[in-house]
Amino acid sequence: MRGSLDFAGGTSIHVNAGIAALVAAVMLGKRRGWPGESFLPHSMPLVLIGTGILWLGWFGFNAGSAGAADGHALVALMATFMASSAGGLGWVLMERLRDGSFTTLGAASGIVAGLVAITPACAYVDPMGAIAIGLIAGAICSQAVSLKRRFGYDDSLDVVGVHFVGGLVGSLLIGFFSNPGATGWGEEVEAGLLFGGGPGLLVEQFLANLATIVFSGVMTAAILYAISVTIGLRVDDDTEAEGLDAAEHAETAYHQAGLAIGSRS
Amino acid sequence: MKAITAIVKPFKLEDVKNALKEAGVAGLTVTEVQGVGRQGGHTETYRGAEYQVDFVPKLRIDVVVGDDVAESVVDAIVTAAATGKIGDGKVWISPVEDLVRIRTGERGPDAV
Repeated sequence: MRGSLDFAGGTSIHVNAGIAALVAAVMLGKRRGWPGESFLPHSMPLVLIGTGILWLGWFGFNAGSAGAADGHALVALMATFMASSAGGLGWVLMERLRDGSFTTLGAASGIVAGLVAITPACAYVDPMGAIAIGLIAGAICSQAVSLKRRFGYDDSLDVVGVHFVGGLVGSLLIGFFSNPGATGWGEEVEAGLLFGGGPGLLVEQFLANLATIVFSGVMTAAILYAISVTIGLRVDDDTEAEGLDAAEHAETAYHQAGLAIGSRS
Repeated sequence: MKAITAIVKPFKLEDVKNALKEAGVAGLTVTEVQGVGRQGGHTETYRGAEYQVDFVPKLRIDVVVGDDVAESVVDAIVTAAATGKIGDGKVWISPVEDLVRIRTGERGPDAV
């Protein structure tokens, strides 16, 4: 067994899901009208409610990966809070420098980017390391979400920009910020470059992510290809224009003043 | 001056907007509306209860233009909004007696 570290699933979940999302976005193609037409978020309050639920749940996810209510769970809990807060800050600071304003959607996205990045690292870094990881991930992910426009793939939830890039950043930064002295691992865990360790851990992190990217990318492509030749991947053009609520689910998300309901049949 | 009102499929808004811009129309008003026509409605299901939904969501686009360009503007809208399938909507033209630009108080064709 090699010595890469991944406490709560940064590589096995986020990098894995992120590369799968990239392959799927490319194979599925763009939504009609993207990127010419505007695809604005339709409800900022719902974005914030979702972020809050995700944020709360993530504490259970990261700290719970300790498998016991012990010191490692405590370190993970603290790191998760520090990194997510710093992630929101990193994202909005970058926005302020780049676009001139702080945004609510940016803060919510940065919090998620911070959560993603600290996931693999949460029990191996001290609070200052967690803040550093969150800030770096928030800033980098706020830049990475524009990759889709540069390369022309349509990623509606920015899974590639936030989860793939955030997971990768967090996982690689363990190679710098792993601090077994302060987090109670002692000899069990290798120290990062900033805490007296060699480059060995960083190399292990790099190799683990590379293996995940290759395996998950190839498997996703194979699964999507199998679906495309059997069930089919996309709805037809008319169905997409009409909306899947009507075509696939026989319901409407928002009724205008009750007008839409005709009569019960 | 003519008022041109178009009822179109919602996803055609972008195309109609661009066509109007090319036709030299400087401003337009869009309203979300629902209506019933030959297209008919569809059935929705909520907890097993089926509802016949007669009213279909459409967009209403209103513009006021000079008499000389009215026909070409209508053509531009019709071309941009057409899919050839039932439910493409309608365009109608009505005379406008007078028009005021609120900011300057200009009246008539100058205010278009």
